[in-house]
Amino acid sequence: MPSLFLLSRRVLAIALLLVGAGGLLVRPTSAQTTAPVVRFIVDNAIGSASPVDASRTGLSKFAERFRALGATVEFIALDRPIPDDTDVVVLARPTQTVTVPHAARLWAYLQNGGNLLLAVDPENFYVGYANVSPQILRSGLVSLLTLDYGLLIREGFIIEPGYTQETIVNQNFTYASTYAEIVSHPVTAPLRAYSLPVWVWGARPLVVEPFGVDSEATPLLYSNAGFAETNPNIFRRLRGTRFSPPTAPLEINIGVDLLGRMNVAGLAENTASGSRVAVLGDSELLMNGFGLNGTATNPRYPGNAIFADRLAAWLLELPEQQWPALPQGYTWMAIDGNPDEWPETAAVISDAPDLLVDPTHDILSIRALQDDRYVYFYVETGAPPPENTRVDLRSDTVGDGSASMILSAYGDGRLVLHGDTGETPLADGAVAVGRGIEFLIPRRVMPAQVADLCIYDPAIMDCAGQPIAPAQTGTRAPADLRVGEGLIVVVESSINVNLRQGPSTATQVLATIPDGTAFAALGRNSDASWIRVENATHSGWLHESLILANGDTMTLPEINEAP
Amino acid sequence: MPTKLIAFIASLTLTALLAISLNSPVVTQAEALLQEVPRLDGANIYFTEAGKEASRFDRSDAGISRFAGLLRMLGANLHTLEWRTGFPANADLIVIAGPVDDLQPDQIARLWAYVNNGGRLLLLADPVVNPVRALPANSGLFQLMWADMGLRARSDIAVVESDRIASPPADGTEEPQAGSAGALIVDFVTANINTSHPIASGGISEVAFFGARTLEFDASPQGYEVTPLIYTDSNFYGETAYAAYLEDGTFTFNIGQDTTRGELALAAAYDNPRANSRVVVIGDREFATNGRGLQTSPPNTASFLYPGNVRFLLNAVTWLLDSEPVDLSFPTPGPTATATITPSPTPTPTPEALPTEEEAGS
Repeated sequence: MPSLFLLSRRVLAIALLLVGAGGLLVRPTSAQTTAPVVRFIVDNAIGSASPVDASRTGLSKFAERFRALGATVEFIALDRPIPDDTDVVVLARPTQTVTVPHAARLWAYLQNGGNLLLAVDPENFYVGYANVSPQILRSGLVSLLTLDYGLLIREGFIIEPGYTQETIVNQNFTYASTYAEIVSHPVTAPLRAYSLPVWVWGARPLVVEPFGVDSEATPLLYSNAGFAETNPNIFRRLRGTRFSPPTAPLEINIGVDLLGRMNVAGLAENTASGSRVAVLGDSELLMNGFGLNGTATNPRYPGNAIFADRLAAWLLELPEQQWPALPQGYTWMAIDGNPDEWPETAAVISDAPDLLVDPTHDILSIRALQDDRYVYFYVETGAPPPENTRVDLRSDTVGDGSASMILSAYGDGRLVLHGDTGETPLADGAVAVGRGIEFLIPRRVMPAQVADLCIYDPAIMDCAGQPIAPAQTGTRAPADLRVGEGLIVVVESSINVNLRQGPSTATQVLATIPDGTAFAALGRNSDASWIRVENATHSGWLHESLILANGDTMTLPEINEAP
Repeated sequence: MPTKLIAFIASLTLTALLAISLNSPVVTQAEALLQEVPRLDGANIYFTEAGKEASRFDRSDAGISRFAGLLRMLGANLHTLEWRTGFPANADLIVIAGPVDDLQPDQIARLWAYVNNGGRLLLLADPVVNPVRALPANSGLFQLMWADMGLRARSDIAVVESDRIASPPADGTEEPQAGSAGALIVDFVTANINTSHPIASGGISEVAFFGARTLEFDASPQGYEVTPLIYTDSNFYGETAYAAYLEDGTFTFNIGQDTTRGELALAAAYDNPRANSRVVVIGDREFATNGRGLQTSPPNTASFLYPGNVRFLLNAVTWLLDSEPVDLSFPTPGPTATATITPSPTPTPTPEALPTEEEAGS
């Protein structure tokens, strides 16, 4: 009989052998996670935009958004069932008919819990190479999205002021700004906080019904254009190599056309299937040469870039903390009356508490900074100021050393510029009352120096008592324009262009403006060869050959300024 | 025995018999059919009605109340589908019984999602002849089914010429020429049944059709299986201009349009184990209606004139529901039974072929 020692060694050897064998049998597990799969519909029968298309009308940049979030991007046709492992399907710009079988396959996929992004353009809209004709209403998809998701795609083309049948023939002229809806949603939260527009190029309206059986829907973007033409025959049609003229006029038909504020983007979740759907009434807002023009770090339209990023993250069902950060180099400060986002680098003026002043109007500190377009102020008071608070910025505009009032910011949101010609409301500023009072004003109205800042209601006043020099942030304002109502013009030139004091090359050059800069168009000369423009930083005249207007410039009021 | 005593005993006997009968449970003919057979208890079967399908509530000749009644007696729960709210999660089977109006695009999409996610469908598709506009061959649901399932119904109607029945061509290849007169027979009985499939097995010897469209199928290996179940005999072809024939009484075999003569499929089953979906398509709505496929004699009894139709339908339902087949026997139709179908297009012997009395005697 073996000794105990030998026995124990044998037992140990056998045990080691078993463990080793077990180790061979047990497959080592690696922390493998399956990347989500995003499939774009690329189908000749539908004529949709492609994620591998790097041209102006391609979606390669949008596809890159998904890859940056860890997804793999592929494309499929809709002539076969959508693979079960698809996490997100993207169907953008169907130019040809979406048939019943196409819609049925999409629906089968959605009912299985998949997520869908659908971007459609107005019927018959000419997109540079074809009139789109998705006939989306006939496929059944519209009815189903309405019933099960509360998202109704309407027939129509949103008409911005200044659009004419001549201007809408060219997609380049049909750009317009849309804004984040009042209803808060993580996808559009930064857009709303920072008043960032999302640009569209010819949009169709949506109706979003928030509550339904098994569904919750949220409107995302809206247009204030006020009118959507529902007759698709307002567009010229490409037939072969020639265009046939439109067969219907562009005009408001009461009871037929859509009037009022309209949604152009919405999303919804179906609680029964667990699927998510986002619908956009314009596909250019995601396209390489349009909404996603520029680079990921230097987007031409930051609002579009942020919208695309966050929409992709939502569709992938990523937790919010994994959503992309806002692009760097911009001034990300929401005008909400609170100092939370103010950087340490802001200029600060402190003021001791004044016991004789109501705390709600007692200035404790003033912060000020400026970026390339706007000047930002935050006034901290002893107690949260009421909404009827008024803050005056004073400057020595006369040069006699006295401070004369130049601008008033009201707690109800108004900004009024006091000038030689009287009081002028500022449409492109912002005011908010929170724990303090916060406002921003465009740099074009800022004097070289702010002599003083005072806060008061009619009876009580407190002033800083010293000049205020806003600190330079070195960042850019994320939006060219804070409001997009009325005609907008964008500089279109390979070189910087001259902004002039009057409607003539004989007038003084006020500034040189780079390509892509947007302005609000305020007026024109007699033949619209010169356009009076204004944005946050500049105000002056541009020659019509150097700009692209989103409408007929002859619809602008004539301004008689002597050259 | 005194007369009064006899009468008294007789009355007692009758009374006793009456008491026994009153206390005994009444078993109807139908229940007697279905006793001791596998049941469909708990199965939820949804019938569609939005496209003017044959209704389970309709007891007229055009309804399918008998079919629905049989299912109910087997324990199934019957419902009417509400398209707008989508397919209920408890829908075990959808029955679309011969719509007249075509399915709307959103209905097709919902149905497709249901079927492709483990759904089961029994579809009766009538020929597209006025007023029926539903389920054309090349669009909508059948376009989808053809692409993804290899199964669809053609836009034709299975016919055989009356002349052909009377005197079939020697080589079986002669086609009707332009302006051919005579009658096209669309009501027929066929015994050409694929008994290798569970639906068509179990003693189904023949089934009756009353104007049926033929089915096209792709039985090649595809990851799913399509099995034709019932065929016409080889004399039939698929007429695509039947409406014109109804108007002027003439017909022509149009090469390239009409379906080539031969054994044409009239019913088929689709089975996709991976998706756990099954579909049965029958190319005739009247296959299941009270006054045609499920007609009885005497009227309103369980004596079905075409028990094969009943068995086939019930087998289709049990197969679709993964249940055991229902084994039924039916009472023989009554002596007053008058078939409403034209004679089966089986060639009848010519008078010369019948034996003479002398021959018979010898």
